[in-house]
Amino acid sequence: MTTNVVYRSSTRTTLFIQWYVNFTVDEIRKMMDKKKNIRNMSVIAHVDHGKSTLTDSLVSKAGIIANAKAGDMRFTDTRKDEQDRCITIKSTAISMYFELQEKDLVFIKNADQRDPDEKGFLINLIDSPGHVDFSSEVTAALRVTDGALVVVDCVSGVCVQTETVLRQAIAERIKPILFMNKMDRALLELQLESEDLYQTFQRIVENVNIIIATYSDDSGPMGEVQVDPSKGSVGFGSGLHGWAFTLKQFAEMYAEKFKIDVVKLMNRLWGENFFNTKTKKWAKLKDDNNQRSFCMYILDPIYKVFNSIMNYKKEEATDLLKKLGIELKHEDQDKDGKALLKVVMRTWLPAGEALLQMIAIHLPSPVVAQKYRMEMLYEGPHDDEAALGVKNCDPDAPLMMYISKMVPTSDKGRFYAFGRVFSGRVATGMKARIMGPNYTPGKKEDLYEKAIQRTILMMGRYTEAIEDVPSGNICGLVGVDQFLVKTGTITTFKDAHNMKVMKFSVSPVVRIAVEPKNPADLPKLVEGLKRLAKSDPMVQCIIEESGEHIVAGAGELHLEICLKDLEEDHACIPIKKSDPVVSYRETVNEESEIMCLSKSPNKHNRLFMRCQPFPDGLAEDIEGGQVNPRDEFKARARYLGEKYEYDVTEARKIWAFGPDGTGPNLLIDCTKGVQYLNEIKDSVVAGFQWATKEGVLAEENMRAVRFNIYDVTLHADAIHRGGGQIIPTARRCMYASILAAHPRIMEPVYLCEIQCPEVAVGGIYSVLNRRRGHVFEESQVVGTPMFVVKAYLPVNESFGFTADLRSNTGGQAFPQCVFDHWQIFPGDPCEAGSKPYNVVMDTRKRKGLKDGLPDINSYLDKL
Amino acid sequence: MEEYSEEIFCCSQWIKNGKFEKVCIQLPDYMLCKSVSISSEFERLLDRRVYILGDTSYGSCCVDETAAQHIAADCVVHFGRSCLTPNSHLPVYYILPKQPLDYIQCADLIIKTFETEEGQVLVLYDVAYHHIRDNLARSLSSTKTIILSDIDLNEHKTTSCPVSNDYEYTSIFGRRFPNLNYKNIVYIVNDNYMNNVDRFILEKKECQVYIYQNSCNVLTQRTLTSVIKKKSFIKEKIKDSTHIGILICSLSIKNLLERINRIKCLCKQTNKKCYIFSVGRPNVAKLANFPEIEIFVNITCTEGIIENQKEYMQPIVNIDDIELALGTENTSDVPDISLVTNKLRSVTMAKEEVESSSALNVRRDMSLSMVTQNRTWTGLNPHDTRPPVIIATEGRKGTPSSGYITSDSEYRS
Repeated sequence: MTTNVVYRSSTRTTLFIQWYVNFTVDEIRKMMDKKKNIRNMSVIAHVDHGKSTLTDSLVSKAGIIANAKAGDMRFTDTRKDEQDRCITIKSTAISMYFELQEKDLVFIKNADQRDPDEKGFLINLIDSPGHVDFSSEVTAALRVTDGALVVVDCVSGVCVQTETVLRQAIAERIKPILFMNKMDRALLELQLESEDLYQTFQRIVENVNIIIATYSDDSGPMGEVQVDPSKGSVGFGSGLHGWAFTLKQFAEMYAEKFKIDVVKLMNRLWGENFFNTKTKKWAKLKDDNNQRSFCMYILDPIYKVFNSIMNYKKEEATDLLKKLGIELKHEDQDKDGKALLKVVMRTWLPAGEALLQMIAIHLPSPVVAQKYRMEMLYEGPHDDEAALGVKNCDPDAPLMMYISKMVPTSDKGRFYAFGRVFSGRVATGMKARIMGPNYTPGKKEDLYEKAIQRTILMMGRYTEAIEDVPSGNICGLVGVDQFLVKTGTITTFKDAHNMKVMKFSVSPVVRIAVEPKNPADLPKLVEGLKRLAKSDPMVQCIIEESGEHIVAGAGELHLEICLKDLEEDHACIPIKKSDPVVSYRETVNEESEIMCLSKSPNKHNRLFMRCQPFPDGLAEDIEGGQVNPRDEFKARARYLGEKYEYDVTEARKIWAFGPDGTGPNLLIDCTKGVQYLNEIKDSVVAGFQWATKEGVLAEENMRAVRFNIYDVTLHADAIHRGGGQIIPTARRCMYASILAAHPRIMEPVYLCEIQCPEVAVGGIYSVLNRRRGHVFEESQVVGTPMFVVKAYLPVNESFGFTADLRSNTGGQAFPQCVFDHWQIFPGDPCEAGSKPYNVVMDTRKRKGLKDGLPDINSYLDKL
Repeated sequence: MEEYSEEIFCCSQWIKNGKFEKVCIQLPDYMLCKSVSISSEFERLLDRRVYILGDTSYGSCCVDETAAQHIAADCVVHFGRSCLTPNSHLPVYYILPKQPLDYIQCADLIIKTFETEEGQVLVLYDVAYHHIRDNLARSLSSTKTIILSDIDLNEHKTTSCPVSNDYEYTSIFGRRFPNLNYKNIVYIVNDNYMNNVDRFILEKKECQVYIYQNSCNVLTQRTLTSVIKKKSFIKEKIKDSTHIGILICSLSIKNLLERINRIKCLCKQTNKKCYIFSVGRPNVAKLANFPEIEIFVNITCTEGIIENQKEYMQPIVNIDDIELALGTENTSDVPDISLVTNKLRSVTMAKEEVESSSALNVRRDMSLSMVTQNRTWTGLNPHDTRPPVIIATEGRKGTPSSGYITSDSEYRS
């Protein structure tokens, strides 16, 4: 594993917070009751688009933090490795308080968006990681928030991770607002003309809206989701320099001059609106005498400020400052160049003010959001007490709280359970039901009734005890961590169902085997693995049948961080790590060439089966839940018939999904008029679950295979056709049908996005070619010299890819890899010497299985 | 036949001395062809009829006491490979198989290998080489650090070697040797009977174990890292399970009931349900009849390990594995995370909440039917939902062209 991953960190500086709002817990608690004035939001973006820096500028404006506890640190990157690497690893929550002025309050039209007597807003912000490997943290953050500030670097544009997280946000019914970050770079480094810059902005807005429109439309339950600069839901600026604006800020500046209403003016300041200064006429088309309003009224002044200061035109600058009404503090007056620019811009267009206004005005309050989110969040009937409590964000309803992640405490092995109260209130000492993801109402599995030891506020790395927390707020719990693995539902309602589990956009496809350097430390390792499993929303810590301890994560970086945590925090012992490997799947390429017959051990029962590969997309549909075992069978059959041309009568007779009853393989009854068939169904299904869990080639999971039972002959006495006779036979018959259907190995494939200058593109191609990758899209980021290369890269070939790419492109290319799909490993695993054959052999060896491939004749019987 | 004549003679003396009336001769399958000559030899020496036990219920390495009890036998003469597991009731005389071994060559190799090594070396051998033990002992006697074990045949001494009383002796898996700190163990194996070797490796983890193969005259080290590693998976799997099957694979083990009770007790402590299965010699089809059982515990002799384990639906484990997994289970009320499924292992499950009322309550989840409730086929329905049987009544008559007459209307329609 490459450990020397270095991250570009030019824009990341340690921010020194010198400014605090003193807020007592009581005051915060009071705000929590004003649920219409709460905004729960996440900040999401591609890696290095400036989330954390932007967040810091917000926190410095409105952060609630006890005076003595604040340090000279980035607020949200609380771990040492985060600060060293300048990359966010864990998402962190921060609370902020902000008061809207009377003139701005009128922009909030919805009565549920604010308390008529309250100007203050409590903003709970979660800063999440941008690196794809930590996407699961983003998912966890989105679950507990209602709105998302999507940050896009206006130089690089919309990137792969922007799309991934935005798509997730929309799917979770999280309302987005957009912020174009790093305008300073566009102006200073790229020196874009104002029209070009406008076009860049326009394109980004368009791209974002295309993504939004793909997954939601404005007529949906969320109402308007698209972002629109003229409505003020798009911000522009520079998080690093601490300035930002929306059209609202500029419209307010000009409103008096033009004697137009601010809202009307905002509409004029974006899009195809041109103003002729001579005739004082607006036009919809560009001609020689008019100018785009956005460029003229917004970009021009900014350009002028930049030009005058960066070109050291002192007089011009002073003049300009006077015009803009910017007064500098005494100590700032001697500055020049970039330093002065920062101060000027920050004073003129303070980032905090613009952003917080945007958040308060455009993001939904819990009251508004929970109305349409309930049906996405709750598994139970939509009219029970819990559902209504969530829907109405009712603090007097029964408690419904979702725990989205576990945050380590200073007490080793213990965690704060972090989550959102959707209904009722959670209080210190109260007795509640703790329901894990496997809980089903009426059963006792995964259910505990315990007292909540303590309710706490979590602000960055600080915690503060609080008596209780009402619905619509985010908080942490002490004492429930032991009864949950990663997530769960806390409730006081006896008949409550679970809140839906989160769906992650990444999968744990990279695996590393670990063992203690000193074998005697094994118990400590096991204990450490259990803690690690808790602390990360997605990591899997499992022991394989061979006895190997496996840590599985989204990618190399994710695993590197997990293993570091395991070694230093959770197990506290030196650990030996294997090279990373991927997990494979087994599938078939064609329909079985022969009808496969297997006889039961007593020779009195016969099964006739064939298998065939799924049509493209069905496996993904099953994994995505569009086709699932709980569907009504007729509707499911219709869907399969329409989309995949399955015979509808056959599709109605799906016996099982597998492995584990939900996996992407199907067992279908294609028999006609077989007696006693229903008696052996359970046994055949058990054999199917077994066969799909441990495939015939290397005992890996099966994927995308449909097994058809064509005929069955059974012994007339029930005693001779019991499970013992049928289960092993069904498995053998399925193994035979796989071996007769050109079995194949599947491997996971990353979607890999690489940004680089043109000169580096050649290097990228050569690295990708060596690693069986293929480029499917290459484009220039319009308005910049940067190129974006998109490629598919087998995960197995991705180890060391980052370092390899950097050395082949002079350090100019930086990849982001996210698991995309499973693909057939080219080659026949049954042909000795082929690559997939070696994969099978290696896997068999690792698992301690018999050498050599299984022979079809050991599973096949003669009539 | 001749090869055993000496033993048969000794045995008949033993029978006479013990005044055993009914004598059973237990033969492995491959020796059944010699049963006539063996039994007639016995009958000649003892002057009375003896019984032959053929088809053994479990492995032929164990003494089939149950079969012997059918004829109320007083003793058993056991032929063939033996696992030497202590049995509970009957006196047994073992007549072990004999395999040739070049003991001089073997002893030389052992001595040469450990010449320069410090520490004690224990030499174990397969039961088939017991007949040349004395020769082997003599060949090895030049080196003091090499100690040859003996076979532990409780009932009768078979060795003429003087047993010195300098040491305290221990006896495990049918082998007896001085209780010393051994650094190396050499096991002289016959063919590929490794089961007993592996038991020693697992038992004596601190020792390096070498095996001597007669066929090629080499010492090879044998490690069981993969087996030991697998055990940690088994351990997790046992902890995860809620339904454990106790599989009786031998009835003639000493303390059989105590062992079963111990497992039952462990299961009870850890809120697992256990069921006893006695299916004779287990095979895939027999055990697959119980798909709801998650783990089978194999109660068997030292050599009774089930072959082709991968073909079975459930893992089959030993008593030691159960002891290891459940013996140290914490009994606190904090649930544990499973490393197999990454889910929480329930702990409150079995702490049944008995409500303090005097009314009668149906106690659920007691029987296997609770386990099988997820099956869709639950047998024929005792409550027949088909329409009830009624006496036949007259229906319509006629043809399509001429119309029909029904019983209550006379006209044709």
